[in-house]
Amino acid sequence: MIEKRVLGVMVLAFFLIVLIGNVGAVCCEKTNNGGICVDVGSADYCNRNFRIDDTACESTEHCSTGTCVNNKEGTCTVSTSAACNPSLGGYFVNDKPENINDCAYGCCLIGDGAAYVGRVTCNAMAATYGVDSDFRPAVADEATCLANAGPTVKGACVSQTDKGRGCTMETREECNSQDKEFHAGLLCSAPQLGTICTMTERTICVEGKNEVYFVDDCGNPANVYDASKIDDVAYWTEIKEPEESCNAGESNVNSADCGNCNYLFGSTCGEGTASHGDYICRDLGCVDKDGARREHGESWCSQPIADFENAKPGDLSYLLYCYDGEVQWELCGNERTGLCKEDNPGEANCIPNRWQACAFQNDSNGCLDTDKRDCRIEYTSLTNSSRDSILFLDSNTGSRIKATCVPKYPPGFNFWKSDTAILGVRPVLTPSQVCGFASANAAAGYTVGLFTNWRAVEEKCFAKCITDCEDWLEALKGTCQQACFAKDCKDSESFASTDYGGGGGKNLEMVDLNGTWVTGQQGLCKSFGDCGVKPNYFGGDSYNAWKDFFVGANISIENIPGANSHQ
Amino acid sequence: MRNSSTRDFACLSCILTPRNRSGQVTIFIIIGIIIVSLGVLIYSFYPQIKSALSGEAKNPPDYIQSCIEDEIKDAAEELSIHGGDFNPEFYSTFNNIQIKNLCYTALYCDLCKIQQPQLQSHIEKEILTKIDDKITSCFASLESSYKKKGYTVSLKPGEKQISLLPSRIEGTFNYSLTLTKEDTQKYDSFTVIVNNNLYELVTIAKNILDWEASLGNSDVRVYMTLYPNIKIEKKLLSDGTKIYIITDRNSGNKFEFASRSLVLSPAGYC
Repeated sequence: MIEKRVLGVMVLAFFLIVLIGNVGAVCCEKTNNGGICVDVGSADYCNRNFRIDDTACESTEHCSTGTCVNNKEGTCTVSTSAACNPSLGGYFVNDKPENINDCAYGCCLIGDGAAYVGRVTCNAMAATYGVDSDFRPAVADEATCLANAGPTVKGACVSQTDKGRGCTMETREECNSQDKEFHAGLLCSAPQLGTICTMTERTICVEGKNEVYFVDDCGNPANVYDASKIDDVAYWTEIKEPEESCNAGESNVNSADCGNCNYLFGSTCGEGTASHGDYICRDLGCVDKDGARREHGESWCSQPIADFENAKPGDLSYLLYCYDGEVQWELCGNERTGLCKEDNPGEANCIPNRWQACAFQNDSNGCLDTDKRDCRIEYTSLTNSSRDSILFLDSNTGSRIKATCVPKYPPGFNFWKSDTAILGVRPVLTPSQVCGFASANAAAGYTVGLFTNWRAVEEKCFAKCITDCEDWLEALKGTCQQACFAKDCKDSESFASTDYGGGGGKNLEMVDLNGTWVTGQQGLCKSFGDCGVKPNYFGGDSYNAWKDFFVGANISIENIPGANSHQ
Repeated sequence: MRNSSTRDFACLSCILTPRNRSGQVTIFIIIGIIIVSLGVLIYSFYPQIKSALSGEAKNPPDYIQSCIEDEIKDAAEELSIHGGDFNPEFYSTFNNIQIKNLCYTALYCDLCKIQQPQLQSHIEKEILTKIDDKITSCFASLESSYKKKGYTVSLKPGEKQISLLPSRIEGTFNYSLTLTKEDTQKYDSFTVIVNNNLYELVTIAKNILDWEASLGNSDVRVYMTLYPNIKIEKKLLSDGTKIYIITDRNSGNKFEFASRSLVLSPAGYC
């Protein structure tokens, strides 16, 4: 009962440490290195010319978040008042953007287009593009707004030049603003227009578009390149959308005859050998490091997530993706705080490694709750530690079992600085403390920690038995100790080897550890992260061997499995 | 009898001989310095020199355009790789480049606070500050060149502005210039246009920052799917800071910035 209380207090203390460690005690309006509204651990980090508060920034007036509105930029940015500089044209409103009249979303009709944005953004867009805008706050969703957009009518814009009737492809507004003839839906090469712009066999790539286009004699893009239509007057007369053109809905990669490229399907206009012209649909796919083809937009993981169930020091998980013929990568998290997971073939994402609460789960349901955490059950031979006084509950059977809830994907950390505070966390939490979750406590009259020596606790078990039998004849000392041990140290059976003491030449002053117990302890240890003895991801030796962890005044390391191994 | 240096210049093969090598090296260094100095001078006074060589002055708007455009272009490029500041004070270092933290929290498991909510306006101001001296010197040299050509010149400085706009950076300088010779030419404003898509890159950066401040992360693949000409890289630093590099695939223009948001503790907890 007392041990349960102790454990409860430890858990509470841990969360308090975490809580305190995550809240800076001081808010700098400006730090010495120029940061604005930064929670720090000490006022020493703050620029003394600005406000300093002994509280979290969110609790202060100048560093709590509101909205910085800038009419010229057309932005409503969630920000602090300290960062919202009036000299740049902004003003601060202590509210969320959606509650500010000028920032709340509505439908912005601008030119022939529509955008679901705030009023300030709408006004700024109109100013930027030099057109009028009409903001309709009553429109409640983007789909309705976009449906209000007027179609942009393009066509041939004809005017008389020295060489004859010249022509360019323009929108109606652009053409009318120049006082030229506008012919909606027609190409400049349309025979009825009588322009000097005639059909050619040339093609071009058009900025902002993915398809290969025919180009007329005046340099105007015509319709999508289709080798079969090169002499088709009708195809050179009316504007056809890509959806109406050759092999619509396909990538047409490297096709010599069809330039209907599709970015989403993995192609775009680029130089290449075609039946006519110098452009084709360029392949946007990639080849990964194993030589496998990856499609444009495909994402995958550097290693399957299952590999990280036995993660080694240095193992990291990367998200990779293919865009525009290039494989890009993202590290999912330092020290395996994030891992890459393939949700579906060709679709992968970084997810957080939620291992932190595993050690506090005392039943299988809690341990295996995948909505909340990433843990697994480690079956151990561990007994008689404080942990075992609350034996793990198998939720399915209701029975108590020798098991511990451990991280499914062991995390990593700077284990080589085992007693160095983890950066940015106050009060300190060290890697040895994290590894210490796997420590056995008060085992058979010994205390033990994986980064501390085993120590015999006075007047208990072995130490007591040794003392009690001191006055016995040497020949009978072992018998005495065995009897004493059988009576007072029953719990030590799984901890200590059974051939201790007596005629075997060993006695309780030098106890062999039980191999099964040690193996279980080693497994448990490794499960909590980069703890204990593990080769690194290159297969290199661990700094320590197991004998470095199972040490103490009365502990023999001779029979520790893998005692000298660094792997 | 010719002295050795005369002989050296007269005979190429002699120059390559070991004899008098130190003297030859000195001569080459001197020539090199002269060439470099000339290059620097030409570069510095290019508009003026060009005008002088062509024999006629450009019209004032063209003169100002050619005098200032490269300055704006260079300023935009330099500032872009540092997150919007020429010399960022609050930065993260990536590839030995100081990149401004545009959204930041020092805490673990905490959303970042946007450090520069008016990024576009800030960049416009930074560029203007950077090129201010150049603007002054360009107008001064314009005034000087017309005076030399016998014009009576009246130049009154006015408001200066840099604007990031779609596909371009526009400098507007409301200087009033009056040139009088046989007739009078009057200019009230000068506009310099530089083809550059910093506006588009900064717009994407602002959107990423909104995600960083509200959700702690952003999926760069979304932007690359929406904008085929845009490439975005996200690099994670050891302290959990993310470096975003937004690149226009066509022009190669970049905008880089740093954000530290919703960082899990190395110990794994929040």
